[in-house]
Amino acid sequence: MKKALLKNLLLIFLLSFELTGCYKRNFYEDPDDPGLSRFTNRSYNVTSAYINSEPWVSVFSGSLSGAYHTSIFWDSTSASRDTLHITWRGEFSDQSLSFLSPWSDWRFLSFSMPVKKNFSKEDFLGFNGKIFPADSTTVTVTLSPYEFISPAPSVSGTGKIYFVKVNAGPHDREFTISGLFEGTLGSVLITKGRFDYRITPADHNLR
Amino acid sequence: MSTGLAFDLNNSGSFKQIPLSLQWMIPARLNKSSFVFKADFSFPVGGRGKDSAFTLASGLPPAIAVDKTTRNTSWSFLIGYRFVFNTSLEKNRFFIDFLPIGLSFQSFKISYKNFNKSDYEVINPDVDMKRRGLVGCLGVGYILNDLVFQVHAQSPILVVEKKDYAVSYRSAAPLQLTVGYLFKISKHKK
Repeated sequence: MKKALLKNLLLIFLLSFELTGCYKRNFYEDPDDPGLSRFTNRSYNVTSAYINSEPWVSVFSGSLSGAYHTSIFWDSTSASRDTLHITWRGEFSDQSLSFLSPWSDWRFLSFSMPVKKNFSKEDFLGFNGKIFPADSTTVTVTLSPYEFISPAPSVSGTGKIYFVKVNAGPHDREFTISGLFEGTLGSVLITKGRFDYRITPADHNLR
Repeated sequence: MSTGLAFDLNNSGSFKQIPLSLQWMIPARLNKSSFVFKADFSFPVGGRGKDSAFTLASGLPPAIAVDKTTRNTSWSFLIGYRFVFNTSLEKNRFFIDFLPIGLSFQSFKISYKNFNKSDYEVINPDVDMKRRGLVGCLGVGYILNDLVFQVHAQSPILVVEKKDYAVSYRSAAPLQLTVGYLFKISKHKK
């Protein structure tokens, strides 16, 4: 009886030890842009930007859960063109700003760009070094309280996103992405945005 | 005491330094092998490199190369043994220095120049870093009268403390080419 109890305790101890060592926050502040992360392409899983000059940084849920993932959602419901949504979850470094206006507490920042029909993961790899919007299209930027934009309340505007590096990851259907972004959502200005992620198969629905 | 030029072999020779080296032989005898203490201070001579920077600003090239300067200042203190080989010529000698253990303190300072910092973001920027740890050193030299010509190769820091943020440069392993002068400090007995 005692042996079994000891075994279980040891198992729980080892499991918790294993889990607590899983994730580490890789936020390294940019000395030129206080409050924002350095611009990297090392799969640090971090996004940051100034929203109306205040640092907004992607959520890190702790060593058990790690960084909140980037969601890349391919939407093929439109007849003419598909849409690619890239969404990050973040928050203001200064939590007291959440009470300034409703959108301040909306944690999901999305970039939505029109892409060709039957967009695939190979097409996504072709984003390497590209800036969007690239032609007469528009990149829509949205701040919303929910990950999936419709039908949640949101503020929207237009933006630019630069995929500085998009590379295939070490496993099938994995990518590493890093880049820059900015946007104007009415009176809300997003500046100096940068992202650096490893995208796992669970983070996207590209085929 | 000697000075000259040092090339960092652990960073492709791209970082250079001007070393000031003070060596003390114990006992102080020039024609016989003896223990040696070596203290070095090295001034940086900017190592130049390039990194990439990117922008979303309209009207600017989206990607540029930016100039990076790395300045490495270091101290090191080593102890070991100097094997002296006399030649047929008086006051001319070869020596080999074996300095198996020492401490090195290295400070790297990084600066990026000649680009618009407000619009461009450097990707994977290098940052300043301080490193310290154990090193070893080997050297050869030639004494011509009171002049000393030396070449010393120091190892990188043997166990580098791991930092979370990766930088592109490693701990320095200077190859020193120096010329110096022998000072004899004699004890006067009353």
